[in-house]
Amino acid sequence: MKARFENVDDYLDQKRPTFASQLRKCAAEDMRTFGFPGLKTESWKYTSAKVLLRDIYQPANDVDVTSAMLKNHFIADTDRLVFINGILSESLSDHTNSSAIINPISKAPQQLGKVVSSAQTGFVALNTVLFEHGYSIEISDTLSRPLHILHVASDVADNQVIYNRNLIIGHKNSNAEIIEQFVALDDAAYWRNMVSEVVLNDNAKLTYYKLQQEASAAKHTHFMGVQQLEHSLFTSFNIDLGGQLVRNDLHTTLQAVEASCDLQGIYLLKEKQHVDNHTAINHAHAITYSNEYYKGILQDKSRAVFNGRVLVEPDAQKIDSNQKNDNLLLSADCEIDTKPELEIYADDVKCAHGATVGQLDEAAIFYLQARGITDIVARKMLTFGFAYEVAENIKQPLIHDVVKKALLNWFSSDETLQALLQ
Amino acid sequence: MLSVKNLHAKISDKEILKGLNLEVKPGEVHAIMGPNGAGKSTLGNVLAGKSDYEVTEGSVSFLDKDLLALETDVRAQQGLFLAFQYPVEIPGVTNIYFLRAALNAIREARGEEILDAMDFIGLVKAKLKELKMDQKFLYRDVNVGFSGGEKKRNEVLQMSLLEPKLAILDETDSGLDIDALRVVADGVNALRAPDRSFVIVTHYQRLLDYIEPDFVHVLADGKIVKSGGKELALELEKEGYSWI
Repeated sequence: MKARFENVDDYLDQKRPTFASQLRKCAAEDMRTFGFPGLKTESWKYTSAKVLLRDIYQPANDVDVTSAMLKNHFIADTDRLVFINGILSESLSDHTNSSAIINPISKAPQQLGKVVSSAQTGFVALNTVLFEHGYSIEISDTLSRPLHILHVASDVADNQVIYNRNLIIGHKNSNAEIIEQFVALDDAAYWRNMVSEVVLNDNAKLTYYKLQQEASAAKHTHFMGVQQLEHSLFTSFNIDLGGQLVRNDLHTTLQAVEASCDLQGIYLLKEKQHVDNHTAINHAHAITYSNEYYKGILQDKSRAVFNGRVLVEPDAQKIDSNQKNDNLLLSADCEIDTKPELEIYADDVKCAHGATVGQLDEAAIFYLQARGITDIVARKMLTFGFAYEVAENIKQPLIHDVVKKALLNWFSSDETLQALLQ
Repeated sequence: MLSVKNLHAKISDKEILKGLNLEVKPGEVHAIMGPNGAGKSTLGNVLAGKSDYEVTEGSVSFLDKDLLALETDVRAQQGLFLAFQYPVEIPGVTNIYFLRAALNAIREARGEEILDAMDFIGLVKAKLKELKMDQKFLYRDVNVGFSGGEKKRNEVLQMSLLEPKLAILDETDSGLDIDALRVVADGVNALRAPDRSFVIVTHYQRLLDYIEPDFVHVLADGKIVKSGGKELALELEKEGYSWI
């Protein structure tokens, strides 16, 4: 059973925004009933929520950030939506030419809570009770260029929290590429607790890139729920490079025939980072497809968790599901807990899964050495290649370059590698 | 160039090479033929320094140095090149980065200036053209998803870039159709030079129709059992290995 923490009431006493009041009321009930996850909560077995509950967090303040300060984070030839400490900045955003309909979430309260229930976890409930900001994006056609959603943390205190609630609706036959990026201008132990709901209608396509580069002391919890209808395609690239404690929940429901999802991820961890990726794919209908590939590199005393749940419902025949999680451990003190979780109630299905935890391929090292490359450089190339294998599946050239740079930046202390890959 | 004397090598307690002798002089092309399991691939791997093999007896000198005392990368930097029978696939490492890293490692060892990305691309594009390879090769991962013929061409491309003193081709002809075989052979022939030698390890005589050897050796049960001129290859093709 879920453990209860005393401070649930402390949060419930905080002032709530006035819109979506019915939703908040239900969420408050859920919070009281379920509390926050404890160590006995199966899905939080390897990630302690305690650190998130040590303080009572206060909402972060709006601060002034100039576009010059963000210059390095802007991506050319994209439309842009910028949030500073969770609050939409009209002046830094620029999406007038985008055909997407973009609004603050306060304009779309009636749509919320349909894909992600506040009974999911106490953190979703908490977000639901207290969120004030976020976006609602509706796409009806093919976006002519990617939409860049940039979340900036700046001058935010250690005990402050950023709650954002987001909604993306892909209407029939729509096609969009969205990159959601999280950066910090200074280091602080703030907490970002975000919930996103996505609906993809018939034939809708969404490629969602998440580039998480939070402050190194920050905490980041993000619950993303996706509901997919006929022939819809959800492709996601989840790239975790920052944060002290990171927990991503990515749940998708393949609700109608030929709905498919492709979830890919990279997590690179150092020092004492803790990154937990929990994915759940629900094959709720026959003839649906899922593919999943997450790769991680761990060094120092870091710890990662990968949990890939695949549920095949009783009538969901002829589904095809693939899952793979590969990890590279570069120190003796790091730890990965990887777990496929397959629940299959139909009999005519194809489900494959595999997880590896290992070191570099010795045959590849020999091959590189046989070309004159030293052992140390060979190992560096292969380590970068291990992560880059997922990034090179990013076909959108602008985003591919951003991600590649971000990965290289993670290896930034390594001059050899920088020179090799210039 | 290369002098192999009484070479014995084993892998996990199984002796494969049992006293092999081979002398290769500058500019010579030697073909080593033999039945499966004779130790042909082992010879290439031992010369390149694969750590799975243990040399128990004998010596190898390469350009008057003790080859067996050198690390694999140093052997390559000194001018030894092994074209792999099964080139390794390396996901996530783009061919162009790999090729440039290899060339620069070797140039650095030779005391030459290292090439930046711009200089390199000009050089490699010219080589691609010679080998009738598409430029797309450069931007694919090393050998990943390459057909058998493409992998072998990629080996020849590396050889042509690195300009080794001694190239060992380990069954480079296996899995090649006749067109690919010709391209590979042309690539090798273009590199033939008075100061460059080749050891061509092959099961079939076919490749030798295109790359004419100076000497042919028969390797059986870990030793050279017969040596001769190029006519020996034709005899082997006709009679098989059983008469040896």
